[in-house]
Amino acid sequence: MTRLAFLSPSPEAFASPLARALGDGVTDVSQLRKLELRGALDGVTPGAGEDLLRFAPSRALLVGEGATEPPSGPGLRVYDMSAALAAFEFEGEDALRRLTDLEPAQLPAAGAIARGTWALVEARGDGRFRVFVPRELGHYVVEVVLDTLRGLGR
Amino acid sequence: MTAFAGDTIGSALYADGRRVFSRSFKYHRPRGLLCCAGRCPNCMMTVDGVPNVRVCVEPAREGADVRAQNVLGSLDRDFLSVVDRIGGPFTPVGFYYRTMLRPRRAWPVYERVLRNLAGLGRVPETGEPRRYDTEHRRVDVLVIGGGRSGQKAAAEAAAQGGRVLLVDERGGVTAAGYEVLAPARAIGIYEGGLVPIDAGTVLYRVRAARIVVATGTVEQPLVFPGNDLVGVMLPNAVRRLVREWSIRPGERAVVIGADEVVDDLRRAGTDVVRRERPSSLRAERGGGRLARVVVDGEAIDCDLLVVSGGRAPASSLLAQGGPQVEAVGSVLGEQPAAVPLDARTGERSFVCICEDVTDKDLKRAVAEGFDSIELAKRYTTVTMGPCQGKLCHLASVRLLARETKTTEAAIGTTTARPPWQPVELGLLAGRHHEPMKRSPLHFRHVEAGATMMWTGAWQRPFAYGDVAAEVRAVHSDLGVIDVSTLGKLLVKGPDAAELLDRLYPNRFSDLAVGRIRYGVITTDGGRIVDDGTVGRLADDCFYVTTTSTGSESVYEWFEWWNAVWRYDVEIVNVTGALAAVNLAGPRAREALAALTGDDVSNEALSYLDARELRVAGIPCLALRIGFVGELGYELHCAASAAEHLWDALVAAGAVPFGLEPQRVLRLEKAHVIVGQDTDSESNLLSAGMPWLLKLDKGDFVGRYAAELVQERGVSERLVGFTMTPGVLPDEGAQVVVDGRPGGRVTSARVSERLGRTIGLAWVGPEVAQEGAEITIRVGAADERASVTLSPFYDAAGERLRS
Repeated sequence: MTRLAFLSPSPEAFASPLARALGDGVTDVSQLRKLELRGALDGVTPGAGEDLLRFAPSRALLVGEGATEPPSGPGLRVYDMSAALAAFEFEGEDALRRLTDLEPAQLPAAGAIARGTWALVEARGDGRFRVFVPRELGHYVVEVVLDTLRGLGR
Repeated sequence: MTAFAGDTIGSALYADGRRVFSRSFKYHRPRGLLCCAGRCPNCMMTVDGVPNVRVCVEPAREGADVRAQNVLGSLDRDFLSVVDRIGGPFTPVGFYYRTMLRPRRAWPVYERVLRNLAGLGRVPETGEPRRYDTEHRRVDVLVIGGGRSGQKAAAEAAAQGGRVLLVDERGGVTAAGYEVLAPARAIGIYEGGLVPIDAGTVLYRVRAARIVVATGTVEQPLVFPGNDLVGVMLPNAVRRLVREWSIRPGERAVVIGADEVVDDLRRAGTDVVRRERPSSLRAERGGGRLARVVVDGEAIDCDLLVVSGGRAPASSLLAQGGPQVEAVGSVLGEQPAAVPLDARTGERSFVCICEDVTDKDLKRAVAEGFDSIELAKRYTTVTMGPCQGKLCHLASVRLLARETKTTEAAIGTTTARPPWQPVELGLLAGRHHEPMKRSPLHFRHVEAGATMMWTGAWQRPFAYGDVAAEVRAVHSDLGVIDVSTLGKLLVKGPDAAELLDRLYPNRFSDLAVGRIRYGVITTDGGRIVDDGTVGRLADDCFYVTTTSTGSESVYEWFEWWNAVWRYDVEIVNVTGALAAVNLAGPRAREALAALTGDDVSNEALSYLDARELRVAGIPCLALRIGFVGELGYELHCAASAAEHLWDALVAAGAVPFGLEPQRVLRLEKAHVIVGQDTDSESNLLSAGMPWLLKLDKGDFVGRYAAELVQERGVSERLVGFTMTPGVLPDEGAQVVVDGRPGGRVTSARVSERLGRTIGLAWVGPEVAQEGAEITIRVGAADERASVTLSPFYDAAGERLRS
């Protein structure tokens, strides 16, 4: 892992990018650790409570509470993107369809959400979805999600 | 007005005795129900404030507010119908291209008059806007059209498995193993199997692996004198009135070429006169609507003429989709046989009822040389109205063939383009959401009362109040500005130094670990495109900053060249991951020292040093640099800790300052803002940065161009200038030389500290000399300015290094 301390957030000083955007129907999970893995991914096994979300042949996001040691191995590079990505969850495939053209049956996948914002979307089961977006656009994307949910009468 | 369940607004109005539903686009002729299928423009009205609603297919609903449009007066008495009675000779096709050209300044008046005299409904300017949403769908098979062939195709596809979606513009289709979207209309077929579907307030963007078009056919009206009179109907309209709504369409009907409706009419109690396809036909009016028809010279009194020119395949979607789109059913059929056109009589013969284009208009267009169907379309606007050619394309092609004495095949067709069906612009636009990038400190600025401004997609503080006070705070005490928007890249790998040496005109391979160097990125042509700092964090790791708007493009630029040169380097865009603040002012070191246990003395952290520190408990990368000209530290930390760091710095006495104070401060140092002080022609030599050009190293991007410029000399130079206080040129103001434009101002501000107006400007090389006098146009006056080639403030940089 690239040991650049200033790149990793301090848990005690954590402020969510979505703190002022939240509303009914959206749950903030930005506090999760998000490690971007590049290179030799085949040998990577997620630890307990972790999700390995592959979004390109040699790129993936390892998401979890941060309790485990970051993976390491030959040909594998790890970057701490915890602070770079806002993350939230919401419910409803109908809402997802109004936000992105990513196919719900083919998640996780990376694509555009809410008018061109890059996003990594994961299905969490029972019609629930987790979305990772660039931190600087997180507040905006959640505003769009809330508006979409309102449009669906929720 | 009373309506029954199943009624449309149009059927309810017809049953209530209304016969005139609209006034035509140009001549304000009365128009009644013609197709009853939502294709023609004759029943377009404003419903609940929404203009151009085809009421023949709009379901009736309790309390609907239905109004006429494009009318002065009422539908039955429209004062603008004077255009039809006396305006015809003065308003031939294309008259507005020729008769309203002079004087040019009067065009806005003409335009306003035309807008009021002609057109369709008006966009509502008040009231709550409708909500429109967009939904994305992916299916294996999309069937467009819910007739027998469409349903059969959908059922067959569903039987083979996979997701099948059938779209039909009318309701009533029962799903049988597949999904039905109705009422909804496909409005085009785009690349990649993308089909946008208008479902009223939701635009479905459907991507289908296989598309089947089963759009059937469209009944074609005949072109004959009086063919637009109220009472002239297509057979399908009569069928729907009788069968679906039990309405008697008229008292006495003449039926030509539409025997299939005779029984329906008789069952409804209408007296029917049948005639075979005539060699001549015209309709005549009485009391503003159809009163009689003359068939092969025989006059027959009637209030209804049911006439059809046959059915033409609705093939526009097929033409848009190309060969990969399949078709089933009658859309594959032949064009109907041509029908004769009557000789000229007192009534007009309309080829296009949407745009009020007559046979005479098309003949005139041909006579004037617009003899291809594409040119005639643009000149006369035939096929460009709400029906999008469904009822007039065939007739216009035939008329053109006849007038040019050629065949219909030789005339061809117009290019089929979306939208095939009219669609509300609001539906295409969707919800109004504007992507806004917020820095991790955005809400700290808002809470502090900052005036926010757009810079690219970012919202940033312009100032927190008094700009001059913020500038003074930085000069004499301590200020802090949020610079999180700067682009930030990690360039890491064994070849990182070599990559940077080839990307920048200056050298980075000799940069010591823990040191920083300024860099400017140029194109292959040597043009300046971005700038920033490069800090070396380790032998194989560099931290690169870019301009706020340049992070994405620089990242892509680096990735591109890294791939081209096949270096062992990884580039990571950490712009969003990191916040950055610039702590600046004479008291910056003192404040920083109070918040960290690390040594931040000038010896331990000197100018252009990069060190990792803990500030207020937060791990930071401290860059000892200063865009604003005072002792300063850029502190970069994880974005989620930014508010904590900011609060600590403000508590230590740092005065937040915004972009405007920053611009004053950087201008005092003559620091360039790429994109404001430079443009697409600026190079390092003309921008006064020859010290960045290291021609004693190997090849780099832009080297050849830089050598050429060095050999040939520059045609202009970026210089500083000063003016007397009280005179402030606009950014973009002209530099005047001998009464002619000789350059331009790129930045100008009043510096309170210097007591002068200062700025940057591009001038000719002959005046790019210290102390040279130039003239700048300020308002209507020419004002004198003095050229300077060094920073206006602390030219030696002692304050930065202190």
